[in-house]
This record gives sequence, C-alpha cells and structure tokens, in this order.
Amino acid sequence: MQANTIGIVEAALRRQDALLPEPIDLSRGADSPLYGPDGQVDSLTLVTALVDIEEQLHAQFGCTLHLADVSDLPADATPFASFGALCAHVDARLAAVQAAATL
Amino acid sequence: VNAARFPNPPHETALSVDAFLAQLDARGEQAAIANRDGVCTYAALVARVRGHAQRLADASLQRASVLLVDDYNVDSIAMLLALWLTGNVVALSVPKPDPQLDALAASAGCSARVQRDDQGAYAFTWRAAGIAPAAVARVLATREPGFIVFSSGSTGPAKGVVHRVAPFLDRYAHAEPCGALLAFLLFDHIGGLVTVLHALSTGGTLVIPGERTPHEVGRCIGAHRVETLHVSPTLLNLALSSGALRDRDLGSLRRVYYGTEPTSPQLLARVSAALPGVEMRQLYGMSEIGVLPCHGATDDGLWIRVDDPRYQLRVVDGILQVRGPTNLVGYLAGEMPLTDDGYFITADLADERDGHFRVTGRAADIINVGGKKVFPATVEAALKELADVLDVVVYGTPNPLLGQIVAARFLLAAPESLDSLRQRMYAHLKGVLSPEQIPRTVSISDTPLHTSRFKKMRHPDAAAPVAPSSTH
Repeated sequence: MQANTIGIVEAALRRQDALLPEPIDLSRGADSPLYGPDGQVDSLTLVTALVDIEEQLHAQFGCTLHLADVSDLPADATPFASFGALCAHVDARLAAVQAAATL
Repeated sequence: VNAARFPNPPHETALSVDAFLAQLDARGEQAAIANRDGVCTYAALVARVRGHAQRLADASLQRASVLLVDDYNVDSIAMLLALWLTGNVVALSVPKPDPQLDALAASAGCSARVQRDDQGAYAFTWRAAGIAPAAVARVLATREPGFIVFSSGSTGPAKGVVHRVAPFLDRYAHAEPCGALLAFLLFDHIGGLVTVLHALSTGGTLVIPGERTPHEVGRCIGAHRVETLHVSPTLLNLALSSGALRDRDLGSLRRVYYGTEPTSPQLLARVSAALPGVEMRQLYGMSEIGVLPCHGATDDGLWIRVDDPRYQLRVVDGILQVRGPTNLVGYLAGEMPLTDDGYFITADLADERDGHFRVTGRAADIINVGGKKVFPATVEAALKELADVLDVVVYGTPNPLLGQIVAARFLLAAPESLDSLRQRMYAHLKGVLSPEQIPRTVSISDTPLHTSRFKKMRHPDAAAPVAPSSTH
C-alpha cells in the first residue's frame, strides 16, 4: 500500500466528519471498519469520500478514476469494508490507470 | 385525429394583423419604441411596416415559411409585422453563423431568409424549401400568419414551436397597460416576442436596451422612465448582486414581471426590499403555450392564479397541464405532449391549492439519490444563504452506487479554495438539509452560471467541463 494513498484516503474520510454525528474512528488502522455490516459510514458518506479521493488523485496525478464503479470486481469483493480495503482498492485502480497510460 | 386535441382552431373573431396595425396607426405620434437612437412613433412604425410589406409583395414573398434573422430594433419589429401582414409563417432567430441559420431554415421548411445586408437594408435570399413540416403547413393552409420560436433546449435539443399569430393578438388586446416596458428578453424567444405585443397592443412604449446587462437595465429604467420590467430571476439576482440598481432613479418603476425558472423566496425578498412599492408578479410561460395572464395569489409571489376563462390549468401526477388559445399548433418535428382532451403537458412540477398554482421545478431536473427525490431549487435556496455566494446551480451527476448524487457549482464574490468552501458549506447544511440533499461534489466557476438568455445553466458540466479540483 502506498503511503501517499493512505494519506489521501485518510484526509478524505476526515473531511466527512463535519457532516457526521461522530468522527470516523480510524484507530484500528487498516482494520478500521468503514462500509458494511459493522461499518461506520453510510452510502452517501462513502460516495462523498470516493469523490473527494478522485478529485485529489486528479489534482496530484492528472488521472481520472471511477472508484465507485466496482462492476469489474468479483461478486464477493468488499473494497469499501475497511480503511485498508479502501486504500488497496484505490491503489489497484491507480496502478491500472497508470499502467494503461504507459502502454 | 381527435379534434379535441387541437384546442386552438382558427376562429372568425380573431384580431387580424391589418386591424392590429390600424389600432397602432390610430395612436399617431405616441412613442412606440425607444432606444439609444431616439424614439419611433406609432405612426412612423406603421409606415415602416407598410413599406416593408410592399417590398415583400413586390418580391412575391407571401404566405410562405420565412426565416427572419435580426435582433431587437425598430426595423426588425416592423419587418416581423410586415411578414405577418403578408401572411407568412415567420421563424425567428437572432444572428448566428450561417450553418446554424441554414439548419433552422431547413427544419422550418423556409423558402426565404430575410436578413440585413452590410448596408443595413433587408435582403431576401430564396432557398429550396422542400416539404413544409406538418404544423407549418396547417397554419399556411388557413391563410393566416404564424411564427416559429426555437426553445432554448435547456432540457434537451432545441425544438421548433409553431404558433398562429391571431390568438396572441387577441391575448394582448385584453392585457393590462404596461406603460414603458423594457424589452430585455431576446427577439427570438417567446418572452421577447410577447413583450413586443404587450407594449404595442396596450399603447405602451417598448424600451430597447443598448446591451443586455444588469447595468444597462438600471440605466434604461431611469433614462426612459420604465414602468414595467420583464426579466428572469437570474437577471434580478445579478442586478442586485452587482449593484446595478444602486444609485439609479427607479422612481418610475411600477411592476416587475419575472418568470422562466423557479424563484427562491430569499431572492424575491431581496428584490422587494430593494424596490419598495414595486409590484412583483410571477408569470408562467413557455414556448409552447405563450405567457399566461397570471396574477400573484400570495404575498411571497410564488403562487399564481390565472383568471382568464380561456385558459385552464390543472396538476396531474404532480405535473402542470395547460389548455388555452395560445397553445402551440405543433412542433416542427416530433409529437406534442398533449392529453386526449387537449391539455399541453408542461413537464413542470407544480402544486395546486384552491385554484392557485406554484411551479417548483422541471420534472427532468429532479435528482434521484438512491431512490430519494431531491429538488434542486430547495438545495439552491439553502446554499444561497452562504456568505459570498453570488450564484449557485444544483444538478444531478451519475454515480454507480447511488444512481445520482447532488452536485453544486458556485459563483463566488471572492476567491476561495474548494476545500474551504466545502467545509463551510457542510457546517451550514448539517441539520438544515437531509443527507441526500447535501451536495457531494462541489466546484467553483469563474464564469456566470446562466445562459445568454439569463436562464440558469441547469447542466453546467455539459456546457463547460472543468475538473472540480482545478477551478481554484
């Protein structure tokens, strides 16, 4: 997992705190639950964070990602279940876009 | 074909263009049109109409579909009346590049284009007409004049809307006097056209501004003693925000007609405070039905009623339907959204209460966030309470998880980072709007959020794609 990605994802999640009754708890690091049965965020908060991450990545790398589109992932994939899973999802999407750009 | 689907057949009692001109002629030396070049009297205007009509007759340009290309001025109004006097169906356009004009002429089956040449004189350019669209053919078959306006296409591709002239002459023969009326809306827009008819039919003076800016509006009100303004809410907002009405002599102003888009109570309150004693009246209209004879029903100006028994309104499944003499004859292409009993289905969302109506937005503009409906006007009203917001447009943007999410694009009074704006927006909206109403993607524009017609640009992403993080 890239440190830069972790910072971008964490900052995007932190920016959602303004609209939430309680700040998102990331004290469990990569295992911190986000979206799912034990999750801390609802779908709107998740989507807002994804849009935020996409904007930051566009600003830093000039690439356009579609993080909310998971139609290509296996049915049992849970890319938003935890902080770590989200970071890994962002990493994978970023790597795929960058690889496509170098072809 | 069910005859009830066409509620505006030709009728014997309609005011003819000839009779209309006789009424204008009788006003003699009264001022008909005022602009920076001076004043044109009613007698002079009618003389110009007759002169143009003679040229048209000499050129055998009669009872045809014709494209008139011009902007507001004395001669273009005289030419329009002359084209009607000679029985033509006139498609209206402001000057545009030739390919666009050719496309308009082709869509309307025009056999000629009337446009000024380099010396300012009208030139007639003949073209192969092809087969007239059915709606144009229907009007020409009655040997009555007509007109075609092209809707702005803010909710889709532009549509050519065909009307007969006579119902509009009738409609404004009974309109209330407007005095000096500022013609802010464009020549080829239904609002611009009825502004001309309203002023001339009631013996008023049509005031044509030198340019379409809020400051010119302010100048004209004082210089021409304007009594009636017919503008869009967006223009009113800009006029207030830019200080265009400050330090102007507005003492002549009696009423402001506004319309064309949902209006927030905050904006109306601001305008009313800036123009004490001036009646604010919302009008309801669209290219397909003209502008209805509306009266304000409540102090907040948001509820209207239509007293004229020739017009019937109703709300079905939340959508406003209208039937009246100025309903369109048809589109140049495509089916009309008409009910079996002849009501035009407007696609405007509306509420009805004791015969009063309130338009809340366009059905096509509703944002569906995970199955929950969001009305842009509600969100915009909340966002306009933020400091330094000159204008904001709220719209839906596709999202794979929720179908759509709410997007907001701001025009600010002072430079600000996107992050700063987003954080103070969140702080302001928390607890004020429900979660699905809160904009999830935000951008800042450095250009106005309205079209050249001063209508809100409802889909700014499509008009000017800008990466959200690159704006400031």
